[in-house]
Amino acid sequence: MRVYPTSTTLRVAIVIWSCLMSQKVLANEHIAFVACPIARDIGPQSDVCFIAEYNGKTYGLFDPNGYNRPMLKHKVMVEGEVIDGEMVCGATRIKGVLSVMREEISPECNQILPDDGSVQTKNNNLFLRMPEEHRQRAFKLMAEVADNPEASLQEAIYDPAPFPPVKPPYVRQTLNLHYPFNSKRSSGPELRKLLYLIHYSKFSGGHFLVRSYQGASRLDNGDVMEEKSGMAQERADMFAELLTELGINKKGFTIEVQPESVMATGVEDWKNRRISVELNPAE
Amino acid sequence: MYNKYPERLTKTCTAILVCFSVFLANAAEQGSSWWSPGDDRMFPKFSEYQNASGKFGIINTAGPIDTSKHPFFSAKGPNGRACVTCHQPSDAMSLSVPTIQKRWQDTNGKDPLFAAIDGSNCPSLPQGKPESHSLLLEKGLIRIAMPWPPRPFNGKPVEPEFSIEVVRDPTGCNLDPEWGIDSPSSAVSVFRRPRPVINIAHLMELPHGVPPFNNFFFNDAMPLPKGPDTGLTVPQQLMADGRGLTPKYQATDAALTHLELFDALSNDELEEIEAFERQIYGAQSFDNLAGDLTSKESPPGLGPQALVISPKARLGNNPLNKIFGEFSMWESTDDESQETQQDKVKAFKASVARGSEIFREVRFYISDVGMYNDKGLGNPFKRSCGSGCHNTLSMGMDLSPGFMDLGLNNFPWQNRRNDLPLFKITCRDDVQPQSFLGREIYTHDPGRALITGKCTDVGATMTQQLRGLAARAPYFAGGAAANLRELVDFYDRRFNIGYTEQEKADLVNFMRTL
Repeated sequence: MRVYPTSTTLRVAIVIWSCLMSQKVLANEHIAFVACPIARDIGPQSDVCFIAEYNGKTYGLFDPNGYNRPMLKHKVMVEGEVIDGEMVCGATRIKGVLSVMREEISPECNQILPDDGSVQTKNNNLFLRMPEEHRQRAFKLMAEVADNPEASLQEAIYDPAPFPPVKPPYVRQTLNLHYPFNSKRSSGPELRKLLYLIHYSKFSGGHFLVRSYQGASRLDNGDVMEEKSGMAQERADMFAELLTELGINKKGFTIEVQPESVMATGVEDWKNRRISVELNPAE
Repeated sequence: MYNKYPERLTKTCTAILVCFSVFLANAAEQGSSWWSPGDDRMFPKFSEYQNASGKFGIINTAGPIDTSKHPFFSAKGPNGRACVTCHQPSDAMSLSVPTIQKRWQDTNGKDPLFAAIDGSNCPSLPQGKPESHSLLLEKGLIRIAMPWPPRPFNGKPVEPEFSIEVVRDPTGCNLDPEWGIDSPSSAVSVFRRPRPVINIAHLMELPHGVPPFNNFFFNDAMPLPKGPDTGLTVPQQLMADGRGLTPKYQATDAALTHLELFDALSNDELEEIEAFERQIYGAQSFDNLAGDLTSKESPPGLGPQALVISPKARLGNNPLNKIFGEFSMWESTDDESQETQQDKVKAFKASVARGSEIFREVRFYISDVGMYNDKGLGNPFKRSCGSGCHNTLSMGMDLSPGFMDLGLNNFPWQNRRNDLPLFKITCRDDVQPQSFLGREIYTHDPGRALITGKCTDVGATMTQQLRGLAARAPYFAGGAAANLRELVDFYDRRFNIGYTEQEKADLVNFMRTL
């Protein structure tokens, strides 16, 4: 991670820019900062949730992109849009992404708030998140257990149905996979989308055009966090391996690498840390 | 006159012989003794083996097999060992310390188990002396010589992200001029427990119900590796460091190292070994207090039949499956007076049922676990034993699959070990460090990092199945816990859980019935 030092001139520019941006933040409610996450205990039957304090406000840290939850002993970079009125972990929700600052250990980030009963826990029953048909079968088996305890060893969680066959006309498909700061780990939901794209290509044929980017993020305090040099190449190498392992031969894809970080603006900079994929079906 | 006496004598002798044969056959089936290579016994369809808590039962789904020429049971190499030497049926197809010590006494240390290559602390030590075999005799540890730098893994070259330095070498093997890191063969000697070769069919099934991680490794979201012999995607549950991807590959590796074979086993032999390993299912089948664990009145998840009928590689941490199935039939709200034997049995069963619930329901902060908290779960991750790392239905593996270091290999340890080597790992500045220890790590066993060469993997080993625990103490890859109570105490200390004495006893009772 590189944090750029700022010269006096640059500082003035940043102050002016920040003033402008802060008005925009108020208008569009975008926010970007690095802070210690704080874990909050929300009861004996729940996992902890995470919050962060910034500029006197408390934000709930919710990662919509799959498993990339905050970690004590590491700072977290928060980039997103403040959603007024929606609460996560007893604090204002930010719609955006989280990046754990993995490369540095921050022992000072080590606070767990005890459960004070202020946060309502959601129901952790896995079955309630399953498709209706699966849920009904699971509940039926549970009802059987009293008379037939062996039912408790029966399969309760199923593999998802395979992707259905794709029919023509085949059209260009696109996908963006986003990554946490300095990371090349894809999220589970985005991997599923990629798997669908590969499934699609088995029917449509065609060529994958992949572009790999790295980004910088402008924080609200004016600091610019730039991903480490070579990150776009690392993502590209990982993606090439991924495609090959998933059965796309090397002639079936082209990868272009954008080695310079995309300039940070302070608004949705996280979208620059990405791999974009285009599948152009065969003629 | 026709003298019937010789005929009677013959009949009597025959009857005695038949009885003796039946006795021998039963004795063999009861499995009360050590299996030596070349014993030429029948491996029955069902067998039970005594242990301190009761009996361990094995179902051999293919029916009885003659082991006389079976490669799992036949000495193949010059040291006289076979697979069965370190994977004893009586010990849940692993090895317990009491068994090892008895074998030492029975053979005066001459059994092939104690072969210099890895049954001693180092081959260069004077063999035949107990102190030269102390890690095996006291902790049940086999020496594993891992090539350094790592060999290519899964067809890809490995460039280590770290250097390794020997800080302390109580066995002498890591600094040994013939066997150590700086020797011509350049190997890192680590010491690990033999993993139980039982319920392998469960371990070899790709995870279900966790898309897309049925085919992807959770930690880096890259495809799971492919078996070199099959080309098919495989889970990595088989070995502590994930190096042996398939039973055949593991057997090949074991034959060349532990059996000291010069030539690899033939494909037919490997297939026979794999078939055997995939057809045996085991669990504790009888408990000295609870009685027959396979009866209709017992919880359905107990006994080896549960492993036969249970779907493989499914998430068990849900309201139906409860990891090991329903235990409510053993619950009791009565006052637990223990005046009669019947009271004791009832109280024990109630304790097991409570232990099952504690295992799956009592959450605690799982924190600072390298390769676990940092794979996206968050730090801390507040889960129970069963909803966290031991979530696989009927097996108690980590379905994801889970390499991790709980604080057994890497400093700061929860169990101080002066008997194991100590290494200093220094990671390069340009690589991702271990999430909680940074780039300078002290470890007894670099674990998976000796395969992948990654700094983040230092100290990580694969979560173990929880079947047959009563038959195969000590526990953990380095044998850190001598018994189940020490195992529970370790978790209690490491994660500051605060189990009560009753809860600890309940957990121990629960685990001994698995």
